Amino acid sequence: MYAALSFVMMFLALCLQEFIPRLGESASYGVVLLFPVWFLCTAVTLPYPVMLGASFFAGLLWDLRHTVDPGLGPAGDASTGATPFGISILLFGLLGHLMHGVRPLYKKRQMGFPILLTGAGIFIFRMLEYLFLNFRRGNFQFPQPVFREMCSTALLSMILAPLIYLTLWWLERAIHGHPRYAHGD
Amino acid sequence: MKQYNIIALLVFLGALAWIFFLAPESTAGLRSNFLSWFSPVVKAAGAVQGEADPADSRSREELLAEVEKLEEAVINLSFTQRNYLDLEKENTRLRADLEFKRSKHYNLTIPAQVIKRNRTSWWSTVTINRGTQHQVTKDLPVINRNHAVVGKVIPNGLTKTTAEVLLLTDEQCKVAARVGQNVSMRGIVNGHRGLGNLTPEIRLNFLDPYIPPIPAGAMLFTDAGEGRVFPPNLFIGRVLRQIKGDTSNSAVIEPKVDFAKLDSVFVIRTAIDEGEADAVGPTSEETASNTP
Repeated sequence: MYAALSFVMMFLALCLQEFIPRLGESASYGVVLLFPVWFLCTAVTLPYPVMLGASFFAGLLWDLRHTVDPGLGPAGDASTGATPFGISILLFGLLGHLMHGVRPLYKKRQMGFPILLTGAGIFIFRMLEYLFLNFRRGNFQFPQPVFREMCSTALLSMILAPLIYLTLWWLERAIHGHPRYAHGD
Repeated sequence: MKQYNIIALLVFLGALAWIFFLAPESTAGLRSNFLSWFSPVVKAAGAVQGEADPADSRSREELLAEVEKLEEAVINLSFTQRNYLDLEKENTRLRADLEFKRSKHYNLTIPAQVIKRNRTSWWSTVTINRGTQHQVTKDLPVINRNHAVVGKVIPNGLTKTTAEVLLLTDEQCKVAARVGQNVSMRGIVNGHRGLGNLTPEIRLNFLDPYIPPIPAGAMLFTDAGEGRVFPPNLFIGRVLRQIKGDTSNSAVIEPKVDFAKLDSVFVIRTAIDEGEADAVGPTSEETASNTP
């Protein structure tokens, strides 16, 4: 029941993400990545096999929303600069594994480290996405504004993490009585 | 690791491999279907963030429809007028050309409103409120009311009622360009990686290093690239400064379009035939006057 609900909430987070604006120059044009943060927090609360399912679901949704095919170039050739469809599933899978490692802390309600790791997870997610773009486009560019945007986005997104953990904790307790080790832990 | 965890991991990896090996057409179809289904959320978010044109929120539907028709008529008439202005010159040139072919012009444009700006991915894209049911198809060029390049329609971002446009400020929106009417000052214009939403400046790359420096302020127009995505003679922007390179030079360009305030755009629908040339966009006099 909780697992099914967590999938529904991830989809709702994707919908809510559309309503979140990018911040201005004072925040280095950072943006709160609600959907990835929600996934990272959810990954901590789910048993391993369900976490893998959530990774697949989250990555698929993210790619369906954001994968761009740039189409024809000026010479009429197909562009090679697009990221392949499915790469986000791999990224979410890797980050899901990382987050799942702190599940025992979540069970003990020691939230400090999971919150920090969520911020780090967002930074890693953003960084891997950008590095993969560099890899696909064949040359390495890493201007300072991009790095600042990544840091700002990670920090802003991390602020949401305690609220999400509390919501998930409350939800799991409401359904199961208390957060528990399920099959797969 | 428990046995069922290993099985779950293998299933995950198998599904991932299956997704990676899907044909591009399949993934494009999947994405289009998803976006069709998801478009009410995108439209609602655009309206809440105030990115839709304020007129869209008004209930006077007839008035809006009339405004739309008039805008379409105005831009089509302006293209027609420009075509007539250049007709005599074009006719003389084409008659002298043994490989004369009848040219088509982009006299069919689809007016559209920007309803949403992408803020979460590394791509610089916007969503417009016209889709396949308005005959918007992939790779069609998008311009503003001043005939300046905005971007092009993304192949996998089309739905019945919306389309995603890759902006000129994105690194992957590459446009063949020339400075004024000078055929030797040619290059490829593109935006920045990941920063398309953050910085308005774009670059003109692959300039011949042996040509004289381009003066600041020179106007940049689309050139007839082999891809034939963009018709020639559309405005791109103004040269700010030139940068010397080892094998080729580049120039920093200030786009003519204000990408921070995009609202109304036009999708150019008519395909470009062989032989289509200078009869569209700015007149020869306009481009010549901007040539350094």
